[in-house]
Amino acid sequence: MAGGKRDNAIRFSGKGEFVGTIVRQEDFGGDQQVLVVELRGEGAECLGKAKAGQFVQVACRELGDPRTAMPLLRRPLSLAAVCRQGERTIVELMYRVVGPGTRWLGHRRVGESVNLLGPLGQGFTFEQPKEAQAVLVGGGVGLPPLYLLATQLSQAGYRNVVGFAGARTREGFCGRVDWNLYDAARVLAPQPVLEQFARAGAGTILATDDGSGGFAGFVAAALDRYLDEQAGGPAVWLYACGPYGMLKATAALAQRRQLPCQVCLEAQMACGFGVCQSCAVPVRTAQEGQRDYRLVCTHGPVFAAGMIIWD
Amino acid sequence: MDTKGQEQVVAAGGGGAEPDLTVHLGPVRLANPVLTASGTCGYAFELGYFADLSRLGGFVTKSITLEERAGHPPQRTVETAAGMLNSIGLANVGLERFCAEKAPLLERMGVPVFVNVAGRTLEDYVAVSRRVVDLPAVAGVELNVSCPNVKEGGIQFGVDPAATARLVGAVRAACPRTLLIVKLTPSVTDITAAARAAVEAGANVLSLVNTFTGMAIDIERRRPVLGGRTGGLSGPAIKPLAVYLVQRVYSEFARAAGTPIIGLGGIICAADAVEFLLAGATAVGVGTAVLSDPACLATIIEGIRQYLVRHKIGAVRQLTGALQ
Repeated sequence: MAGGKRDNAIRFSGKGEFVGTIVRQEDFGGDQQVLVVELRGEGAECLGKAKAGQFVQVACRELGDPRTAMPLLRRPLSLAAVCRQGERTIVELMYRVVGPGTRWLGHRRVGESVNLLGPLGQGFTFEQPKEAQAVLVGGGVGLPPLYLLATQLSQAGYRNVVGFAGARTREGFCGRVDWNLYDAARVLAPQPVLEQFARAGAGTILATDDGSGGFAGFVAAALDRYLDEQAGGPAVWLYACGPYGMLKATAALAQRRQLPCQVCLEAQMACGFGVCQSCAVPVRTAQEGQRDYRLVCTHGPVFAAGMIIWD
Repeated sequence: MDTKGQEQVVAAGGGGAEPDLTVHLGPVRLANPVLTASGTCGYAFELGYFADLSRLGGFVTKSITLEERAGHPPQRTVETAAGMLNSIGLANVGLERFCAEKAPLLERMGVPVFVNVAGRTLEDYVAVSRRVVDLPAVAGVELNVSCPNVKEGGIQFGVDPAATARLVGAVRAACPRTLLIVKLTPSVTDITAAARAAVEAGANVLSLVNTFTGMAIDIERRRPVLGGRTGGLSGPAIKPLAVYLVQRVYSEFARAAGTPIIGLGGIICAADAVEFLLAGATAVGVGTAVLSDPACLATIIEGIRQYLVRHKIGAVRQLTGALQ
């Protein structure tokens, strides 16, 4: 008999490896895809209970065959939506096709299998009073985990939730924007124009780098102006996910304004589940001027913005 | 020699009997020939969500150093063609935290555990080895000689056979009864010389190979991709190189010396593992594959078993060196 005795099995629960079936694979423009995967079975329940900010590691090849050894590593994708329907768990992933892994994934068809490890990492936390305002700041493919966050905030009874969405151009939003509903005269007013925020009850302030739609400029700049206008309003709690520059600017803004801020980081990963030590980010320690590292896949991807030593 | 595993007489059956997967590294018995490779499975805890730890043949820990090490600045890994480069920088909790925090689970696993030991000086290796061999879980020590010897201008211990011999000799003297594995670096001119030096200085087992030194360059920023500038290449891309080196060390030295080899380098499936066994390995290590396919450990063990059944071979140890 191979290995140890069955009744002495040592296997932890709470996350795992799951094979699901693709029930939807859709291109929503600009190399952006949405992938919906259905998983069956008791174990997959943990994916249905995932917290916003957690992610899955998706295999982008046939595993275990040296002839299909590329791309070698899984690709980390944040969960954009999760739900349980009876004994089925459904997860939604949104991603951009940027290389061989995501290209392979983009070619998978409805009915085919997808192999996931998850749910991985620590998600966003929210314990503030319900009257406080949650401001979700997203850019690029940082938006999908904020969609799940908006849903979970709403489910937890938070009614004052505003989304900020940044993109390079008006075609580049990682989400569905209905420009017909958009009032360009009110760029700093939350509007129900971005479907994935609107379905969770949150209005959105749009920003494009090139000014082709919404606020003209970086999303952190839009946020700064918005917060000026909100002075005297309810306490604001910031949640940010997006390109490094956006996170750094949001963290600086939060520090200046003394606002609690959680950031969801990305880092080059190999395993994504805490064994290889690849995805380290520099963090402050108790000692002044000292630096240490934390793993984005295990201690993160969500961190208090003030913990991170930004470039 | 202290026996941590239980020695059994195993009948080498053939025909329809269930094949015997046990192998021995000296007196240490492994229930099957598949071990985890150092640096890819941490100290087992995280792996436990994705694999049944009790089924492993053996577990080799992430390298421990005397002091806690934070590791290199990012970026620490980069994917390459059918492989990856890593420059983690031996990030690890250090000896004290290992003993206090990591050892208990390793004991629970009920599987032979080998602590991979790294150091900057010979004294570091001795200090760590001395402590860990007393832990109940520990069946032996694997010396990571691919570390720069800071007292000798940073040349790796494993690159100079005389330095390897001094290091192995010192650990052997400090730990007279422990199973001592030396993990050889392939970035040498003559790996057999390194193997011979290690064994003559007191090593019981050789593991080969560690990663190959490599580099990746970001052509837009015109800088190395990795924070540590160079890194170690692993994964399927190196398998043919590793199989060759195992075969070479086995035929030139280890077979005659009776030194068991743990063969590793790019194994992702059972067929890969069998290649290493045929080349001369007694057991195999699986590392990089676990990062993307943690279930492969169980699949590889099962695949080896099926290979033996298909070929009507009674015991996996009969495959060692059976290359014609």
